[in-house]
Amino acid sequence: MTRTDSAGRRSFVIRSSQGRRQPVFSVRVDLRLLVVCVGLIGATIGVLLVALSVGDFHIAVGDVVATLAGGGTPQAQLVVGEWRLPRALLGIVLGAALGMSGSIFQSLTRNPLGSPDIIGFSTGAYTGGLVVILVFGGGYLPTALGAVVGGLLTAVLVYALAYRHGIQGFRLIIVGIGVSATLASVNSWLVTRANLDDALQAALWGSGSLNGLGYTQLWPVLGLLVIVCPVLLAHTPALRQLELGDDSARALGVRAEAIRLSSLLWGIVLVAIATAAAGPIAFIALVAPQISRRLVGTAALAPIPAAFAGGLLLLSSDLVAQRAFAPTQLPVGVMTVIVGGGYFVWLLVREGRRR
Amino acid sequence: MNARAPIVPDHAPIVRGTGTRVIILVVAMAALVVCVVGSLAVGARYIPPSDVLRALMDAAEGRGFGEVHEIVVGLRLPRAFVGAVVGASLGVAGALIQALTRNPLADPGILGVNAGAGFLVTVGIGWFGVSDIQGYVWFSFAGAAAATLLVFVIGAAGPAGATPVRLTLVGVALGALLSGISSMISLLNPTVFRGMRFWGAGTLTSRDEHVLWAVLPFIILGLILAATVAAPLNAIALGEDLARSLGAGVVRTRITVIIAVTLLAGAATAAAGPIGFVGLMVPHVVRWFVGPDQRWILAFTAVCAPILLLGADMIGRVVVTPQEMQVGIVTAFIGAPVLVFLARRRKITGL
Amino acid sequence: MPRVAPMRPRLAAPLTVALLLVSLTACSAEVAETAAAEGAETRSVETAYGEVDVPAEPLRIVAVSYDTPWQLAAVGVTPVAMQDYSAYADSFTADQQELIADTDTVGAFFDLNIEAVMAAKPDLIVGDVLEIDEATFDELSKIAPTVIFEGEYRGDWRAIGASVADAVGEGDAFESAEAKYDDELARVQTEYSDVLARPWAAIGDGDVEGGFSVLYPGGSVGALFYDDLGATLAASIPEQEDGDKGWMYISPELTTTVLGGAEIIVTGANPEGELSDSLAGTVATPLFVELPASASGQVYSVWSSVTDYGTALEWLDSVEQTVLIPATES
Repeated sequence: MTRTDSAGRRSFVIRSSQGRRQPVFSVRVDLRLLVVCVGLIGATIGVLLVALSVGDFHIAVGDVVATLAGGGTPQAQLVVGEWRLPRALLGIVLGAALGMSGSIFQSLTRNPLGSPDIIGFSTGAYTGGLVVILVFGGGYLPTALGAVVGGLLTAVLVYALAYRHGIQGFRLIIVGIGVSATLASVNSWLVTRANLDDALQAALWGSGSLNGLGYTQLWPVLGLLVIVCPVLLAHTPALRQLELGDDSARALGVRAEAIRLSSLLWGIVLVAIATAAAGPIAFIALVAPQISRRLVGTAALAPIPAAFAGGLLLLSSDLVAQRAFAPTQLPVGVMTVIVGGGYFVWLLVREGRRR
Repeated sequence: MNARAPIVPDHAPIVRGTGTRVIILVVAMAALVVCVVGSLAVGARYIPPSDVLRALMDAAEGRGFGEVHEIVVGLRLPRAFVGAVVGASLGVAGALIQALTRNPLADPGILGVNAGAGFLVTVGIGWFGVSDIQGYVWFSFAGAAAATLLVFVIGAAGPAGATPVRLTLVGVALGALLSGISSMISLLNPTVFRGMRFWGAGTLTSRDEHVLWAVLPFIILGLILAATVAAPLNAIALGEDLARSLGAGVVRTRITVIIAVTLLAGAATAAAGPIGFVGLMVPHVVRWFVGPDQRWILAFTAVCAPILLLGADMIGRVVVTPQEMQVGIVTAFIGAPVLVFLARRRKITGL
Repeated sequence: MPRVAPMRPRLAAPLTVALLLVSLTACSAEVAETAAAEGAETRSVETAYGEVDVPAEPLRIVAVSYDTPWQLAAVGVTPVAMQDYSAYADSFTADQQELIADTDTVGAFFDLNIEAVMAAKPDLIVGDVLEIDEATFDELSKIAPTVIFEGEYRGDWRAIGASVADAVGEGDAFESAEAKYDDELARVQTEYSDVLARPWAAIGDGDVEGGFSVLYPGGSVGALFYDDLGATLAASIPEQEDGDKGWMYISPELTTTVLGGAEIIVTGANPEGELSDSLAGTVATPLFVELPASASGQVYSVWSSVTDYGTALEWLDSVEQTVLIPATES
């Protein structure tokens, strides 16, 4: 049975045991949200099939499905099963992590620009990775570690500097911009003193790339996300209360600063996972929650559709980055900045016209 | 406190009274002269001021040769000149933006000027084969001007107008988009990558003074416009309706300010590459000393900003000998902590 | 008052696009089988990632690292695919450019396209450890036998070149090229010993206008001039400050101090002998023009991108013609 509330949104209730007096759980699900999520999942599957099928070896979708089911030629199994599939899955999973993290950040800072990119994490991660590449010679694991350490330290620094009787959205962003700018000049300095091929390697890593990633990265990422995502999702009701105002939230028993700090921490862990796996990928965390917000039609925190939107966005960006300038492959991070930045400028233009 | 309220400093200005201010201004000018001479003496090779003065006098008489002469007159003098002019340019542009947006945290760099300049320079290197600094200049100028205008046009759209929040958002979004496209071009084209590696940090070295002569008219025009618009800005700070009743044309003033900022910031970035934070720090410190009168703020900023820039250039020359640290990097090192400090001090709720 | 916007059109667009793309790809596949090398002779080669069995007479070799194609060309072997160098083709010699234009590509520097490697149907894949880590090696090995080598330091083309030549069965050609280079080197050293005893400085691009970088022994180019050729490093050049990169930027103010003690200055150049714009500017500055080396006309420019004994011999010949002979006459 669906119900329409005062805002015109239809929803229905899922109960664990229909008709009994005490259901074990009871969840109200917004109808439009459900449709959006199903649609996003469907689109993602569609793009996934395309991503598995195109490349230097064109494999028809029917053969792709057959290969996934276990048949197909050994070569197709190698290309699809070993190379394309883990890369595409990583695109979906990392994009989902970034989208979810972005929605949390935007809720925390009450600002559409509140994302790990702006707040300095990405630049810090770049600095960390840069130091490892230029000083210690690089390598996949050391660079990933350096990126995570650099990003975390920067996030802590920004948080500490912005903390003044609590965290206020705009101050966090300004402090983030300031710290980012310092680190960006550190990066410039490091790059000018490096060999040209080191500088190029650093620039390529720093844009974020899914090239060469496989099951070695996929399983740890999935394992970590299986732990982190439910924890973060558990914060959602409290965060929604906080969006309505600190005072009303406290009246309902929500410990504002503790919840903020905890969600910030877990949100950063999500971004750190993505950055460690693929380098700093910009703008998914910024744009995916905005897209899902507009599709679902509500401004309230909605991390799940944001995650699905992020997955679809990153997967599609990677596909375009691989094929648009073929045979040259672009790092996916460059494509996401252009798509994300362009979308954002368009958003701001539209908002200016609409109001 | 809403976004349209004037910026009221937390305390009364330290320097009051016109007479005192004039004296302090003269002192600041003297400090600037000392700074210029200092930047001629200090560097990877320290040259005593007596030798500096002798080289300058030789140059004035048209003779003079040798290594010391070449270093002082050939390398450092144009650099000091560029530093003074670019510093004044960036400082005044920052003061104007802060007055216009009522946001003490505004800086031409944050609003996307540097990203715009960088973007068109990458296009210039990649598509038009530009390779020397004279070529960079025009692309950089055009890019900086276009980005500034775009940010203001998009930011001012809508009934709320160019609120500080909106301008910052637009500046950051546009800046990110343009630098993303620049990255893509750099990665696809190694010639661009090599060229951008060094332009991207901002430097005062220019073997060829033609660059500065080329953009000097724009800077002078911008400074003149800034001078004419100082008094109307004071009126606008009291509130738009009051300003109109006082006869200050609000829209006309805004447009003049935007044109002045475009000229100043664009020309400065064209001459010296992207240098951030000068326009942010100096007007703010100056305002703390002399109060909210824009005429004094602009005058003091035009004198003090070069002091900061020349100081940063000197630091960059001595701190990593025999190499040099580019001035854009030094100003970011100094400026970003100042930005953070400012963000912590001000009541941000009003913005 | 939020109105309930129609949801279907919003999702219809992306769904339609996805369906269109899927239907477009539903045409017949071209799946070619990799060349079966069963029954062919193999030998065992020691590589950075363990022992690998390679075909005794490889026919289709794919080069997956930046220097590998030239190391193969130096022993007379042409790869069927290599990295995409087209974006900076003019930093290569005419012969190298011919090879670049004719060969299929497998991605770019640090951006390997593994599907393109498979598309080239190799029976042997060759590279070095700078770009190919062990995970990539594992994946490449699924396509064809893959040999990845390392030297004693990064860019050690002598050791890597030797291993590459051995892996493709041209060890003899490598050794004879090496012997030829060593002989020529010895001859040049004796003939021009007095020129080499004078103080030299080797410079490259700087990071500021009018600046430059000095090259040191042990660096990739410095090793050629100072270690191989035996030129004397000018005393006025300061010690290396940060690590042993082999080069260091110098502020233009220190031009006279640093380069004043050199009688002969060599700069980098492209294969046609033209200076980069940055260096061309530097050598025209008043401070540089007043240097003793510049005043006596002893500033020379040499292309020095040596990656194997073939280019090394070319470099040596060009040094003799452009630098040593004119310097003897002056």
